[in-house]
Amino acid sequence: MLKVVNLKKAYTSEAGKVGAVEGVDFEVQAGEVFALLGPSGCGKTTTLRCIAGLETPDSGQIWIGDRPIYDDRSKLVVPVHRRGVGMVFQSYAIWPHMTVFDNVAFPLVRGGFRVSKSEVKERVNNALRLVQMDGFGDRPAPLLSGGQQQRVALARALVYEPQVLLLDEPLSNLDAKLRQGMRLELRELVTRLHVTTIFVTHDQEEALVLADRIAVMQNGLLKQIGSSRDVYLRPTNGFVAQFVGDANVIAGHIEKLAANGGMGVVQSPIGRLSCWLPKSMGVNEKVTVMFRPESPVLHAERRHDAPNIFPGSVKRVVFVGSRLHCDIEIGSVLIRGEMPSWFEISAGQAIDVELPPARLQVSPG
Amino acid sequence: MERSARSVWASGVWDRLAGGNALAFFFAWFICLAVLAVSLVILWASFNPGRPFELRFGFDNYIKALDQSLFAEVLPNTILVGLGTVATVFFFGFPLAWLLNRTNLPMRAFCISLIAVSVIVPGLVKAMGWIILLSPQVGLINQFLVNIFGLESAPFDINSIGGIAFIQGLMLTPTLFFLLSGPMRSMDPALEEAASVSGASTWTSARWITFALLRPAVLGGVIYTFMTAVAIFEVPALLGGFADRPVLATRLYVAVRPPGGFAAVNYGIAGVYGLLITVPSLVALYFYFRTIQQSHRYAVITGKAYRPKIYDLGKSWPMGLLFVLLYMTLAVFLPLVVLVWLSLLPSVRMPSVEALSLVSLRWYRDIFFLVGGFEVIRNTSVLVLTTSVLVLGFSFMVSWVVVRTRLPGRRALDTIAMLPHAIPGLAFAFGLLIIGILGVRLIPWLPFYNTIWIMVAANLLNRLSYGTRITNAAFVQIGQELEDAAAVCGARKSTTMLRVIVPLVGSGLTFAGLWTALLVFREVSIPLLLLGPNNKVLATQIWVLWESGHVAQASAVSVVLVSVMAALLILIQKLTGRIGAAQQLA
Repeated sequence: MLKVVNLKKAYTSEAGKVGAVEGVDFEVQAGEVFALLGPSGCGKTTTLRCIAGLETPDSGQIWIGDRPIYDDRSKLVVPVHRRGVGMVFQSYAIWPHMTVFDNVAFPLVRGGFRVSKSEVKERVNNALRLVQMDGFGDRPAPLLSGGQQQRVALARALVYEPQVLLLDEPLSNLDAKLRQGMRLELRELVTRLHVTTIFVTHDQEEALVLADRIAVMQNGLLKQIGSSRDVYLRPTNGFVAQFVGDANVIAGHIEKLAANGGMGVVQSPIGRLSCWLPKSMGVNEKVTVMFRPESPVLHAERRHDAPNIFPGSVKRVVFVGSRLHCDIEIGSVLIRGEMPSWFEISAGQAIDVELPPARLQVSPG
Repeated sequence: MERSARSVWASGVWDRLAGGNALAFFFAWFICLAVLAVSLVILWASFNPGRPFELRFGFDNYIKALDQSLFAEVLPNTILVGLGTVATVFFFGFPLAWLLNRTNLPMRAFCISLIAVSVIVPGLVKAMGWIILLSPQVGLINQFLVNIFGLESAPFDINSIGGIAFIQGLMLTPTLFFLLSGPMRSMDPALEEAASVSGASTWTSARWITFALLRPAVLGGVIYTFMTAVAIFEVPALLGGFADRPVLATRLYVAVRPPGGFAAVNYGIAGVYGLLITVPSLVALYFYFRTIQQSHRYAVITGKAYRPKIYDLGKSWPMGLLFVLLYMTLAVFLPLVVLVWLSLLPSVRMPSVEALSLVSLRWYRDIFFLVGGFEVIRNTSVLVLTTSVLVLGFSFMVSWVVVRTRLPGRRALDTIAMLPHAIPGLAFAFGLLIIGILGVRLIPWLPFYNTIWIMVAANLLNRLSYGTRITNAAFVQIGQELEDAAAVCGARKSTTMLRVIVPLVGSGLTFAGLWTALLVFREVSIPLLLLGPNNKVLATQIWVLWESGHVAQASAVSVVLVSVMAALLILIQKLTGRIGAAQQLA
């Protein structure tokens, strides 16, 4: 549905040319919800604005369906108002001098999607019903709360049934409680309408809940594209592991390769780790071993019946309600673990830490 | 540490006076009551048919003033001048504001500074320059065109309603420019982007989003320009003459300073004219604030510093730059060049080889004598310095009470401090003139009437609204916590003011003070109405020289006036570095 090929965009600032997007490729399927996730300044918003046409890239190609909207080879730049995408802005950009109805009707009355008067009324009312704002049509825009503004912005973006819906940090201006509610509602709405959706966020939880697939960006480059599950459980590099959720990262090198489908061995500061190694790795190659805080299994009594068991001592335990956060020292390395809140553990206690090989993710570097 | 009951009590009183808000409260109300009193004097004068000190009451003045010529001539002229000025101001101001704030025109920052700098050529000087250029008798451009095309009569006549509106429009364009710049810059770019994404073309988006959002600011600008335009005295006086094309402002002047001598003075009728200018202004001010209040509702405030959407002018940027140049030429360069040329000649002449041979610095050698000698220099310095210091001090006190305290009546205080915005300076000067005449009768030893102090008082009241706007804004920007932190450390209110608040608002205050000095220095209508033998200032000298036919000499003094203002402006830029950021030049 949407295809972005080798997209590049640089800005000139006082410090010279700064690359905001430095070669990004991805493809979004029809009806898919796709997240661009990354810290601020990673180029995710610039990518979205290039798709909308609010910025002109330096090079690359962008297609919506089989229609090219940007192509550096043929110097094709379709202007914003001809692209027919829907967009919700971070500040919502509800026009303060109009009523709710006028805001939503704008694309149909003055924009590029003009329809007859009677149809305008019907479609605006439908759009408002969709976002549960029916009955608010006569309300002046400045009298809306943040959550209502967001719904109106969404109605305005959906009223002309665009092929692609772009959302720029759609939930960041809402307070925490409202954000959780809207997250699920938004997910349900775009799935029901089967509209191809691309959204930008810096909140990993938002991306995990909302998106079918996530593209993690850093410094203008894509670091990993994959399903929510993939990105969380199988991060392919240290940045993704640490940006999406918490991660323990241990550096080491390969001591022994896997023999006929078995596990290899990585030598690390906490000891020898048995892991499933990716193919194409050689002995003595430097690697990073990652695991989530919820992955370690803690044993109060000594155990020898499983691989990767290390003796450690509990340094700190913090009770956060639903879970326990504990810092455990193995040798000179501090790892973070998460336990259910009923687990009995206290600081200073000696404990055996089991790292099941299936939960260890090994990547080069 | 033990203290006697007496010393505790004494320090308690002292703490309450200096430590509380009493000081600020006293001075704030003092100045605001003065504003109210002078306003009431204008009202009272209009009902007093006799001399100021005769306490009589009647409607004679109204019957005399509201005659046929008022409705047939004066009012239509005044309204036409107002509308014409508004039209000129928008013709220049709106495109300038858009070009310099929302497009990629080259050298924008420099152009903005240029527009701010145009304040150094006051209306009086602009009008003089343009008379030399376009008067039907001596106008250089007229003579030139007549000679070239063999015309029978001069093609342009600056001495007309259109001429007045043209000059006043050039004068007030910077004000509208800065009134519009704020809203144009602070617009969330996403509002326009959202329209583009909805499929609206650039023009549709500009028409229905950008201009629609600017409507309150534009409406405010229209009202403000009209109000100011009908109260300007010096331009219609020079261009319309007092008799040919009378407007309310010139009628007021003639009633107080009739050409026929002191016997024809009629203060009561002047009061009626003063009210006729003031009342519509007050009504307009009310609507002005209504729109300003609504414009707060128009704003979508997210606390972000927006970088407004910048339109690409493409290949037509030279047109934009030419437009800026056109305005600067008409408003600053042309009148100034003409006056410099004239100041080097014995009398008005077209530029020619013959004229060139007559060029000399003769008038500049006599400049000390021409400006009126030491007396005028002293008067002008006293006027400019004392007025600026007093405006700053009183504005500081008023804003302190309005913004920083919860004292009762602070809303009223703020509203009264805004009154001088609506009441023209000429009317204030008139009110003080009446008070001055009363003062001569009641307290003859007080140096007020016919001294520089009556001018200081009139300028102080006239500039109070401008001063308080700046100090209000400065105080709002400083968080209450900064002040509370000082209080928690045990600092008195006065200590907090001096050690915490003043340093923080310092730059804003310096700017306000110097800008006030500049505007007081070039103010001509207030001192003209209050002019006596002992309180001449530089601006009135120009007027007197010009009116007595000494055109070249008046030009030389104007050049001096402009040079002094240029020096002041450089000082402002050096000290505060924010000429281009001047929000309001009124």
